[in-house]
Amino acid sequence: MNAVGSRAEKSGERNQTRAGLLFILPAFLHLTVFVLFPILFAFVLSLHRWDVLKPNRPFVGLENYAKLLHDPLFWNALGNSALYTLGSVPLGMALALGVAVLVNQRLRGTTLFRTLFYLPAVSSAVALAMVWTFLYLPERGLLAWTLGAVGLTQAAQTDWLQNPFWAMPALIFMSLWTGLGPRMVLFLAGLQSVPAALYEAAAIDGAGHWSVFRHITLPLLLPTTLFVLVTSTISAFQVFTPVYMMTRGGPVRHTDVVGYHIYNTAWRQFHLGTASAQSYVLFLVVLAVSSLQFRLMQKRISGFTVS
Amino acid sequence: MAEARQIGLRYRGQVLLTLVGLSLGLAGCHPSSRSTDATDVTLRVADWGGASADPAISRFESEVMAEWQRQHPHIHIAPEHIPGSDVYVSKMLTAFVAGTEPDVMALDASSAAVFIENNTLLDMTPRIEQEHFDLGDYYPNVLDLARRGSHLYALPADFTPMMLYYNKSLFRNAGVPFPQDGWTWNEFREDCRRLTVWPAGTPHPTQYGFELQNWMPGWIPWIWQNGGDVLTPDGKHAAGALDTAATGEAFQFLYKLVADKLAPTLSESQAQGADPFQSGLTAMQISGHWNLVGLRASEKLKLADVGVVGLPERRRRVTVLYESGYAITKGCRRTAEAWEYVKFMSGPFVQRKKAELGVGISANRQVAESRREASPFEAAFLDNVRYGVAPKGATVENYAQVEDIGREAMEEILVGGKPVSSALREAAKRIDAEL
Repeated sequence: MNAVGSRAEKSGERNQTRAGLLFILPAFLHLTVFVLFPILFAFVLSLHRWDVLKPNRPFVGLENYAKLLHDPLFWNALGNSALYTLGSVPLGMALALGVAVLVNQRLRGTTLFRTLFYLPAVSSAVALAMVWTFLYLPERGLLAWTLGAVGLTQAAQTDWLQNPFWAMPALIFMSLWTGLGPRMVLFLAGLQSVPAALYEAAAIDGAGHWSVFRHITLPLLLPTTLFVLVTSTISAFQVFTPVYMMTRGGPVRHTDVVGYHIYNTAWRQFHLGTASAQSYVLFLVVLAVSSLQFRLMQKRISGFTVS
Repeated sequence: MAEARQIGLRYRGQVLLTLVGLSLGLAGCHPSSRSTDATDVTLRVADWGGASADPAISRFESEVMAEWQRQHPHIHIAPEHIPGSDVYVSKMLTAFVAGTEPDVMALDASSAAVFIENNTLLDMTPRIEQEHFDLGDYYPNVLDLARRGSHLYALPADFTPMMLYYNKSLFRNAGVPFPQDGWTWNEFREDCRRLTVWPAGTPHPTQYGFELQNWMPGWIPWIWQNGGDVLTPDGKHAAGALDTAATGEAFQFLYKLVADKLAPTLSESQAQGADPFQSGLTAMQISGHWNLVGLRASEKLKLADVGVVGLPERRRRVTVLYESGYAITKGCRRTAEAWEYVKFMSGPFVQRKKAELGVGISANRQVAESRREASPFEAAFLDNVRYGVAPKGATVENYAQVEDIGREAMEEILVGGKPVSSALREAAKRIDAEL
């Protein structure tokens, strides 16, 4: 009886394992074919002089990487990406946190506002880019019109996307809005997981709004903040669509970010080897930056829970 | 033909993802020609067209297709439209690598070299000789755009010399006589000056003489007219061509039009949110025959108010000739049927339809000449064909990059305020590193 039962149990377990494996198989295959293989293949590419149409694709070792070190255009692109990240991530996170706090109030209509703020996230990035191109038009765009209406006629003449100084800030400003939704939702989830008891205790102790936010909300949001910071940084370094649609890297390469630069190297110049090497350099940069963020934040998180 | 103002919804290219598509394609099958019946054949035909708002174009397409199906009931055409000329080139090249290329593809002269030099197209000469097919019907300099020695890789479908369009009303209002073929740069600049209107109290002119688009296929003729060039005659170097005084003078001339407020800045053109020539901001514009299609649909500028004239000349009279034709790919397994299709598209029925509906100039000399009197524009175009020179992209494989760098150099001069000579010297260096 016992032996039979355990055998049945065992075969049940085996069946379960098999079913489980079957369930993850589609995702596993998808990841292998569409993610893992390309990542490895890109590394192979980066070690070759691999021009799309040339049958001769010699192995060149690290030559593609060595060349990048002396390529001012690639450094320019890395610099632009860093600028974009430094501009869009901290501001975007602060804005998202502020909005999350607002829509976390128990007030009428917050659901509507949550939806509205999240809408850009479910819209086509290309459509958003076109809308913002029109918003930024000199003289006729909504921004120019608004500036003109409040008397800033000189500023209304500015072509935000064609001006070497303003093109990058214009892209960053747009990203604050397009990136708001997902960040807001994450912060909102974080806010709602803060135990109400802590707020009650603080209220009894007579803490003001600001000190409650400063000493309870912010520290308890640290894990969420870390997550938002790391994912935002990664996606900021990979930005492509708005640049492709709105500035094409211009004016004069002022918005030529790495993602766009890689695309051009691969699909305008057809140097897949160089483009893959650029992708790996970007990967290393992102890896370094995010692990640094992890280390710094982790220290503060564990510090907080111990004390 | 390349279109400057096309705002297509472009494919968002991501290197890694595309790489996968590419490697899968390599391993995959070759779905070139598939038969639906023992006798039925389907040809895949790629071009850069898309949906058009112009009823003449849709009519042209449906009438052509109906006639083809009548003549060849068993050869079906599966069209593949890839909007956007630069995306079209990338997409086609990737398809060749992946082995998923179409049977027949539209070939633009301005990007023909990359396809011909990489051995992706079928030489049509054997079939031409076998059938004693008469090439004498075509304009020789148009036909030669796809020729390499004794090999021919495409039959022309339509073409255009780049011309100067002018707004007759604005000329009349300013009391400026209409430009005549054979006019000069100085006369052109003087006309620009007289056509520019700058009322007191406005931040910039409300009407300009000319619109300088930073679109290299549009401004390259200026350089040639002054005896300069972008590349040396062998097409191998930019140093010795792009950085010479003759080329610099042409850039300087164009730059001065903008700097002296005779042409809008790129931003001011942009601010129009529409074609500045059609909206009446500028009195002159350089474009090809295709521009007539857009003008015909324009609500602000009536076609009766539009004139077309050859480009103003400096040291030599020259313009650039853009052409598109049909080529058969090397991977095509139904070459006999594909050859029939190419002949049809380049032949009298389609060419006559095209001319009648005014959607292009026929590459067939007889058909084109028969339309000389059909509209006030055709004669001007036809008279300028002999000044037409092949775009460098017809012979230089990496020309797309040359154009990118050229556009950036012009941007540095116009927007970045960089001196012409140093911008061109640096651009020449970059191009030479690429070629």
